Amino acid sequence: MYQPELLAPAGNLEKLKIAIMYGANAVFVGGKKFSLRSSASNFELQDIEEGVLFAKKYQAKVYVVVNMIFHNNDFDGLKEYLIELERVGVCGVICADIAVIDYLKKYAPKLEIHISTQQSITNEKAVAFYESLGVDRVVLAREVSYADLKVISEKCKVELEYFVHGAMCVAYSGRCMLSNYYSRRDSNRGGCSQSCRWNYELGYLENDDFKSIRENDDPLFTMSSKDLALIENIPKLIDMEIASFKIEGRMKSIYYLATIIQTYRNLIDDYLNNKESFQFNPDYLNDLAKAANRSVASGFFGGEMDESKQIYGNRDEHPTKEFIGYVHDYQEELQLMKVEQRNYFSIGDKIEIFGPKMKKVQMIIEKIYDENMDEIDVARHPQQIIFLKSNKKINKHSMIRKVI
Amino acid sequence: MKLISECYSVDNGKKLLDNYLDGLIINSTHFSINKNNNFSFDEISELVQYAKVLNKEVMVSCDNLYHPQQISELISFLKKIDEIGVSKVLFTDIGLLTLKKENDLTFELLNINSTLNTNYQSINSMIKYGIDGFMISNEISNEQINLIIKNIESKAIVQIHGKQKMFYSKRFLLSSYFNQINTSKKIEVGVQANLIIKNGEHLSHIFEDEMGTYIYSFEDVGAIKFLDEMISNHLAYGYINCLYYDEKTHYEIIKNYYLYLNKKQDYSTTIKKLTDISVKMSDSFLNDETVYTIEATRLREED
Repeated sequence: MYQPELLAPAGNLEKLKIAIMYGANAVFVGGKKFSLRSSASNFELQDIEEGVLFAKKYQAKVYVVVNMIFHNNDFDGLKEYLIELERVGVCGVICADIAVIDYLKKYAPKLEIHISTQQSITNEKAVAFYESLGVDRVVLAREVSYADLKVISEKCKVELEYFVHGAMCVAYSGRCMLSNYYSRRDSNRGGCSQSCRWNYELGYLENDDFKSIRENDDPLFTMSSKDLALIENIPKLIDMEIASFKIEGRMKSIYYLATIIQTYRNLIDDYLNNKESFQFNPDYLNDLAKAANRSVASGFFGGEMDESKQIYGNRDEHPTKEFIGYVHDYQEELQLMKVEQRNYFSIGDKIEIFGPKMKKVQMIIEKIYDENMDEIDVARHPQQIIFLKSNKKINKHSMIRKVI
Repeated sequence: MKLISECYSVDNGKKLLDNYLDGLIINSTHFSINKNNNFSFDEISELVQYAKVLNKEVMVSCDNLYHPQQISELISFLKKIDEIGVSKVLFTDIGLLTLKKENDLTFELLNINSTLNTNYQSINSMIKYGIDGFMISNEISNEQINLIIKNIESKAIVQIHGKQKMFYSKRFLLSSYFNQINTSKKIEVGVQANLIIKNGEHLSHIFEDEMGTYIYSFEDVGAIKFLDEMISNHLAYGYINCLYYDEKTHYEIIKNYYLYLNKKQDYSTTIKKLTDISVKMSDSFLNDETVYTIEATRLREED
């Protein structure tokens, strides 16, 4: 029976655990070598092994990203690495370089092979090529629309993975060299300096002098894309029986992951449990907005692309201050939450608590205690351990956000 | 090494084949990107026949990434160009390999998705699947390029002169920007508009067409001093990109490469003539390496 996979990013072991506890069916992680996102806090092999063991308890899968485009001298250690990934029980590898497929078949044949979006696969004939190589899954390009996807899914047997949420490259993935030229940092080997999000003057040359064409208060030219958010379209994707819905963002915080993953999890479950009477609840959008730090749009899903999908002016990033604490424990007999502070809050603040396998709880903070159980008025120190009263049971690993 | 480039018209193509080029790269109206010229099927056919008489070749560029609704038209086009004897098709969409097999097409397929052609192991893997040649990445060093040329059993293409492609997006970034700023001025966005983007010291060409937005290097790569080594390693094709040149300049650049390669003009004369007619030449990545690890980036930035 068809069950869509909710696939989430995990930049480290803590994030992997949060992603799975909040409802991801699978996570993708990067090792110290061979993956893009070189500045993400990637996994050592022993972390991957621990992550696999943790995931198994939840019947979840771990995929490892080996998606850099190799240069001649980058292959050292790849064979041994893939053998180790197979040994520790990783489910599959997401790769972009065609040579990695050969390595996988030869040295780690039990690992699933997933073709990365870095290959920018946009049609059924390209999917068919990889199908003929015996790969297990194709991650489609972000440029693939709903109409494209319908054709591809009807004509191809291989599993398809489709991006549903997160940041978008403005160029075709794998084909943007701006970072290479502007920073000498290789975007296809994890060094991307995000030059597309820089501001540029736009103009022309007149006798070798640059003349801007901007007038007055026109914003500078930028190529920055709004993030993708397809939550409203998830039922359509489920009806098409797409194998995997991907959330992007290995460098995002645990709060971001928990919020986004749980929202998509809830919607998927709500729809699967009651397709006939399902109605889209605007609360899903409200919940996503609580973790958003950039404007969102539907990307190429509708097939059209215009200025409404782009960011102009300032970078439009709004780090949220709503996340105020992470629940380490709840002592039922004392009705006390042990909380690690993440942002300033004080007595009288209205908060909302959400966590794994629990419904959201809202309350007003009436008392705050420090580690010595002395009462305090405000929690102002990051990572300070404090205690909060709650007469409702709160699950471990819950997140607390301010209701603004 | 065979010298290949685009042309501006049928007459220009014939003249280039008559005098200097070994092969022409032809852009088709609906299936090519990165172009400042288009050719109808009849024009392609005329050039193919002309090249055959000279024992030279015409390659057709089908280098976009295609969406399902374009596939049937693409198949018809590929069948037609196969029938008239186009020898090679340049592609970036791996789906063309499937189409070639499904339709028993006979032309060779050259993979010009150069950003992914950065090592010989991957290229040798692709050869097994039926790809006949590869454009090697512009963003690796001369040493790495030669290592690839020496270690692949296939035709290698290297861009030896011209603007280098840095970016291709399906989005209409210039039109979107002008819509956003609500300018009253009519601003052209095509390649002829010569628009430039600037960040600090970095200048780049930018243009937009019905397929999306492109960014090209401001400087021209000029690989002439690296050619002898590449040729000794059996580089199959040297490609000169015509983008942002007028017809006359393009012709002169090709002529100078031809004269140098055929030992009719020495190195310093060639460099001087190219420098005089070309905007600004650089070694680009031929003498350089990109970095990607945090540590390497830190060291480079300190340096």
